Amino acid sequence: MASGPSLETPARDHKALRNAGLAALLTLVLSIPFIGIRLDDSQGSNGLAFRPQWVAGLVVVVFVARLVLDQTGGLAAWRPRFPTGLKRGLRLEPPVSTILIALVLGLAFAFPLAPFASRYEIGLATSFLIYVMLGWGLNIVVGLAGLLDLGYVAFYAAGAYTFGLLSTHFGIGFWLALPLSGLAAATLGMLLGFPVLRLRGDYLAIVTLGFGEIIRIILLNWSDLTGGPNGISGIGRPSFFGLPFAATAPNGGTTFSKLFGLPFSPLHRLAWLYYVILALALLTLAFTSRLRRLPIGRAWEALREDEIACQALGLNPTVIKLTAFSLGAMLGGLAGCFFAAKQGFISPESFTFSESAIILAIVVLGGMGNQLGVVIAAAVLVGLPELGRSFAEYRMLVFGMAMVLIMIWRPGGLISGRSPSIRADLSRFKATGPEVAP
Amino acid sequence: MSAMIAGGPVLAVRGLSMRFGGILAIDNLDFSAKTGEVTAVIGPNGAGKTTAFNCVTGFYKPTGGEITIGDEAGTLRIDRLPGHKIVSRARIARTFQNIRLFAGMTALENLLVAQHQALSGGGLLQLQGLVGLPAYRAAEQAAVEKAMGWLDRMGLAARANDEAGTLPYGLQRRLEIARAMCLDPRFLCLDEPAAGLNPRESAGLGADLRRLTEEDGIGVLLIEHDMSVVMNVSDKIVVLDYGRKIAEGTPREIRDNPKVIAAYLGEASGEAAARAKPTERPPARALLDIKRLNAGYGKVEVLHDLDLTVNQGEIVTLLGANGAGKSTLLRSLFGKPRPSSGEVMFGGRSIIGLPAHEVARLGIAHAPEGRRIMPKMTVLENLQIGAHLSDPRAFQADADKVFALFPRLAERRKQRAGTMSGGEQQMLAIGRALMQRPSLLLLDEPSLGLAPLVIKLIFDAIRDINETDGITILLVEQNATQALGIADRGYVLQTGRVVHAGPASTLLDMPEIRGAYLEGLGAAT
Ligand SMILES: Nc1ncnc2c1ncn2[C@@H]1O[C@H](COP(=O)(O)OP(=O)(O)OP(=O)(O)O)[C@@H](O)[C@H]1O
Ligand SMILES: [Mg+2]
Repeated sequence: MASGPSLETPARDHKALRNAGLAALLTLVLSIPFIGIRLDDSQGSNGLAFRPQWVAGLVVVVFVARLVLDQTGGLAAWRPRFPTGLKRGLRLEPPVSTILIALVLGLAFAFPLAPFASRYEIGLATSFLIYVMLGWGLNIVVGLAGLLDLGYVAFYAAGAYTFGLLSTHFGIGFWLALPLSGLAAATLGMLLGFPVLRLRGDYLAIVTLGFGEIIRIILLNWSDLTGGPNGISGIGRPSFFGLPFAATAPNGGTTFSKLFGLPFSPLHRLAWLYYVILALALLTLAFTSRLRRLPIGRAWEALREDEIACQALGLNPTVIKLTAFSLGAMLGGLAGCFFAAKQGFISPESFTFSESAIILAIVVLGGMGNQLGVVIAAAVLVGLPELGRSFAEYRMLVFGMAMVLIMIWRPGGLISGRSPSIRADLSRFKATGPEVAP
Repeated sequence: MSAMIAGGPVLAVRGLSMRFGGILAIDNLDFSAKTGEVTAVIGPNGAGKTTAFNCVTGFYKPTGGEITIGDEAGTLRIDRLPGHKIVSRARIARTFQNIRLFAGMTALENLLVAQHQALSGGGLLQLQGLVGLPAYRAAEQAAVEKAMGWLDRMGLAARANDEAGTLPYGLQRRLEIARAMCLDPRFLCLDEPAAGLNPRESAGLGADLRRLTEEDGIGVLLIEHDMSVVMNVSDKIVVLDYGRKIAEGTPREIRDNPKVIAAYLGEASGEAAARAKPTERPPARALLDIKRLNAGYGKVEVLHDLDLTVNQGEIVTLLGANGAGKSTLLRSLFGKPRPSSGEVMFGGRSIIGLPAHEVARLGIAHAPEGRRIMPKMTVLENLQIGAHLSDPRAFQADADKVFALFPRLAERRKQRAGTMSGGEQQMLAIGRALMQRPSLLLLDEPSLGLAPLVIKLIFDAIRDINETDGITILLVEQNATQALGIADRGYVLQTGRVVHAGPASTLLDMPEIRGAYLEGLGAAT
């Protein structure tokens, strides 16, 4: 059937030439319509102008580039290589990690008091924290339970609109509306979950994508209730334990600044919002890390690993998926409620698919299932477009390129690797050693 | 663990049939199993054994018949329960032919997932856990204790914190049993638990199974192609062929049953070693030459300074216990894992650092452990994938060769590969590798999961393609006797190092090798 392998070099050169030729041909075919022909607008009448020299130039460039690539070992050789240590998850040991956590928390709390923290910085930090919270919420669904959800923004919207409506129609305040929004979003998650959770992988993704769009379109068209494209404005602002943030209180009461004898400044309100979302985010963190260590968290991960094995262990996949979906939705709803309070105005425009995509990108980029990863990815995704402001119209291009590069550099996400939810104390067993029992 | 109850629950299958489109996988099957006994289900590949298990454990709804479990309290129709309730109501647990562990989770976590019901207490206990109440912590402590108890019994305690997917094959099988036992089952259905174990490990497994029935009083249902295990541990054997029961009885009765011999066992086992040795060949040039190879996964070094040569036209076999690094060695030729140092020459050219598809293009074909077929494509399409590098004009001839070797594949050429039985998939994996027309064929445990009769065919076929087509073969096998029977030379690996190397006949006669790899429970008596 076979003989020794053919390893002669001439064959290789021959192959390289053929590859380059093919690439050039492909370029020729593609570049004629895209670059070779230009629509000319000459005095009102349209005409076609041909630019053969452009096409020729491009074909030559591609041909040479392909040859060079082949000689240097191909694209594969250009893949960046990193020491294996970097690829494993970051594992910080207790003394270092506690100090680090304390440091980060301290910084987070002190941040609004810092002299450089102006309106812009605090606002940016606040939206960063919203994304972190959304990321942690979606992480339950995508990272732990392995259900690809492309319509997460629907729950965010549900939370925001719940608060918006409760506030404008019934005058219900932020703190009471917060749990109600979470509940509303969780219910929505449950309702959506029932019919679709039988689906898997790509199918689930498509259905959730559709669901997200349906919610947005309902918000857009049900004008009587949602105000349609005009949205809802005049949503109540969170108060400081009943004290409003204002120069003068509406009916003679005290305000936040009066109570503390501070001169009124709009920054106070922003800083308070920052603290509220910081608290919400930390609560989310505590909640989700606890969940991961509970049976339900392990069941989620087990479901992601092997659904059939789960069934053989008597787990009901539908129930487990539903809890993941509705708890994730609840966190999204809470974040949405906060978002409505922060903006004071909401409209369907804030809840487009691209929002879902960014939240998903945060989870994937961070390294599925990893909570620290989510923080870093949120910082990158919120920070990059801001840094990119100086690139003006190329901003989104830079943003996209950066994401592609990160994924090439770290295919498993910024922080890959999973830490076990529980560790056994092996001191009793070490004596037997890792041998197979005889 | 409860004491054994005489005349305890009985699992009964009556008139069971299961049809998949045109295939009648099970045809009017009756059998029963008792607690405290091992009931083996054997039969050729594709006979319907796994399908029967799938019906009993609720993964398939049978097309006909009934399955019941009965004790003093009454009988329960299992086939009417929803799948996930079978564990809690009927208390039947199972393992899978193609290991289904939660690979990314640790061994301990795997066992805790199995105790989900007990640990969540209908959700209430979990709520307490969420706010950190002691009631949950106590329950968790107890669950961990139980899990560690089972890990210890299966010889896995020291690996409790290791990711399940990183454990060697044999340990994964044991872990799956430990996980099933955490469900406190009355019946445990094991689908080929000894596949991929060497004779010594199988013997250990057999002893464990006896202990489960005798000490813990559970009923074991066992599908297995390793006859030394089946004959030694079973109380009763049920033999299937083409979905029907062709025999039932004690091991002694089954061994001498002419129908079973014709359909499944073949003539007396153990003759492979006595096979004529291939004639000595003149020394040939080295086709594959490995020098001081080191490789591993992340921080764990698996192969240490390994030297190995395969000469043009040879069959070389690689033996060693589970986890010795045999599969890792084969995979490292394809750069996964990437060797950290050393030299790998193929046909005089270094292949270290070449991407996997380039290596395949040079003429190395790999039939990996665990099959890796394309499950959604048909049998024929899988073979076409295998052939995509070779001359399209030769396709028909090559396919015919594969079909002659495995008539089952020809019968099922339009079936989706993922729905085939385990053994049928194994045939396909080997067939696909042959379609590549390689100059070097790497076979990773080709006999895994195949019926004894087919194993003989496979080994004959391996020698045949080596002799008539001149394909050089590197063969990893647990079935050491038969592997050495056809090989020219052999290597024995231990924890990533070569500990013995030499002509196959020499290795066959070395007492330490006989002890470690050739003899299990002794010949089936
Ligand atoms: N889902 C399915 N769709 C179509 N055919 C199937 C399906 N499942 C099994 N079969 C066919 O039913 C027959 C019995 O398969 P089964 O898996 O029960 O065999 P088995 O006895 O376990 O064999 P092995 O020893 O190879 O594991 C096989 O021919 C298989 O191809
Ligand atoms: Mg089977």
